[in-house]
Amino acid sequence: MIGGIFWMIVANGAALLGAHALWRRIRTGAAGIDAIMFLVLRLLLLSAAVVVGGLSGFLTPMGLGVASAGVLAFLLLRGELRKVRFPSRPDFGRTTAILAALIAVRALAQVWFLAPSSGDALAYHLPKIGEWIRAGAFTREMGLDPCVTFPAGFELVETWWVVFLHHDLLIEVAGIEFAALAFASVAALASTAGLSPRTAFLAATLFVLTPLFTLQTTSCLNDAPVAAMVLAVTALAASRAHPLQIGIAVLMGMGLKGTFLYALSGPALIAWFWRDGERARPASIPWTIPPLLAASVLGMFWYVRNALWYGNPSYPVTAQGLDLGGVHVQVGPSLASLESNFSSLLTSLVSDRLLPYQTDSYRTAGWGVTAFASGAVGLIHAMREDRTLRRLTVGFGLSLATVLMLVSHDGWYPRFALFFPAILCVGAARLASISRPIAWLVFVGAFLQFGSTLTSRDLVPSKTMALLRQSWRERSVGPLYYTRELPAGEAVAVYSTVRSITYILYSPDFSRRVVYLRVSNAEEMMERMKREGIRYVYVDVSSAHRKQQILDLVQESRLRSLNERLYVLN
Amino acid sequence: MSPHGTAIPARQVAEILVAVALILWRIVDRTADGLWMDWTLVLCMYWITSIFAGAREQGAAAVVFVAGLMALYLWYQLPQALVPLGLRP
Repeated sequence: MIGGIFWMIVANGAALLGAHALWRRIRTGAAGIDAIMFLVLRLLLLSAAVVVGGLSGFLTPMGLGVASAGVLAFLLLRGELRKVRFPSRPDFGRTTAILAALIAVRALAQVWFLAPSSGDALAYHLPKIGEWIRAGAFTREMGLDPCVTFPAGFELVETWWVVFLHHDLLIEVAGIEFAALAFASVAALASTAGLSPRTAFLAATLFVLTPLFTLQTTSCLNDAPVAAMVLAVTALAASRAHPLQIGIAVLMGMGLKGTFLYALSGPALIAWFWRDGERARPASIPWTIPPLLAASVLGMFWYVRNALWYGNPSYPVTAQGLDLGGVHVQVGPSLASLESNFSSLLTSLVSDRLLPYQTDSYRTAGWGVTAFASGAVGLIHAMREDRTLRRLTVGFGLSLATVLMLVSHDGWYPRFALFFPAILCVGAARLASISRPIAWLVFVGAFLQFGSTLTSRDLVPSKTMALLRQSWRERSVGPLYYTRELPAGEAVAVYSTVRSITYILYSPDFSRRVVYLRVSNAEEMMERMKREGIRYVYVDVSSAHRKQQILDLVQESRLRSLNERLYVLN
Repeated sequence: MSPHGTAIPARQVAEILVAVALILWRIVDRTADGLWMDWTLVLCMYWITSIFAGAREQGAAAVVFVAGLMALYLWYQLPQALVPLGLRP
């Protein structure tokens, strides 16, 4: 572990200094654009390092660590450290600073004390990381869920925070990296609208406290990162950034999730609104090309991989969409979806009255009281008075409309529109800056949001307390579900025909081999287990006849049940 | 004519028409029972109020509407917030 910590520090030093070296060559002098580009470049370098490590078989602490040490030595010899200029202390305002500090401290505490627990993360986002870390390389095996082949740009950043320690203790830091990007982007947007630095930072702080965003930041789900990248592109467009710089952010976003593309209509319209006038010019255009090329590779990587492996860039989604046991992934626009999504968003979801907050936004918008009250009133106020904010709002509205038109009307769609509360937060901050009573209401709302996002429907206090009682080495939701009876380090097979939370099987230190069985019945399962020399099996099947086959094996004493999902060979 | 007896500018007429159209859409779109607590409807009322209010009244209206909407949100969401805490089934 000590070696891992050493390599992690070296690698992050190299990534920071490398991002700075690139950044100072393409900075524009416009604070908003430059802040966003620094964070995007850092994410670009982390992601690129993991892709290179994954493809070359050096996705190990030593592999990435030694390469990073080489890069760091090169940068130090080039004198890059002496060229680092720290930004001047930002003017937050006292209350905003306290609120932002509370959010930051809570997020870091959640990184340490919580473990991945969201169903989607455990079922299809994270198992691939388990396979990559165990193999020290990218693997074709990523799990049994149909969604494992979706773009995994966010998982690259998560892998960066896992690979050096060979442990998932810090995996949620990846979400914090994107929260920082969202913060910088909303502040830049607010500044574009002529708001003071204090007001802009308040808007940014309010956005990262948006319930769904703040819950997703440390939940290993990729909707908050997508929202952050949409906001980055929007802010770059509104700040008249150079098209090559906007291109870097767009391409990075493509690699996060396909739905990122659905929201680009708004930034495109905003870029068109701001087409006249002088553009911010990077210090060096030629130096902008390599990051753009790297972003192209990262953005296209998953689509090209799927085309090569499965003959379909968007596999398993086809022109007809994808059916996932009652949930349909829509392909192409639908006015019916737009009408249904928009209507239910305004009627019930925006008020978060149907269910408690949940990281996957199930039947809630998760925009919070600030966006709902002071944000909406403030935005109307702002639109009536300010042309820039009117244009920004039209852009955000267009993005919202295209997203709602392109996603199915299911229980989870609001997470795809997680970027939208940003413009409401700008409205709230602006109104707070001109009315003291409103400022009080905004801060009351913000502190209420802080309190109400300490728990969620999928991470209730009892579960949180159970995680807190575990040592950091063993912290996992696995024992709270099905892995308590699984001996440490013992390999386990998975026989599953439904969405199943298999990431918990790897253990936080990825010490357990997980073998996914692609078999059609229980007899084949037994045969495969014997061939692989595996005694334990995690069973999660849906059909009655498959369940009966397992019961038959138990009755024949060939298999023994340890709990609802876990069995061992007799 | 405005309450002060002056002609309403064309832009404000357009704003009122959009707000009224939104109100009509909400009335058509949802059932009558929850209509008085509809977010869009409340916001349209604020919008129309702010069109006719003077600068001083606009500030007061904003405070009233923000406070009202906060109360409305908490009325809706607070019971749900109690569920994860085990204080409500």
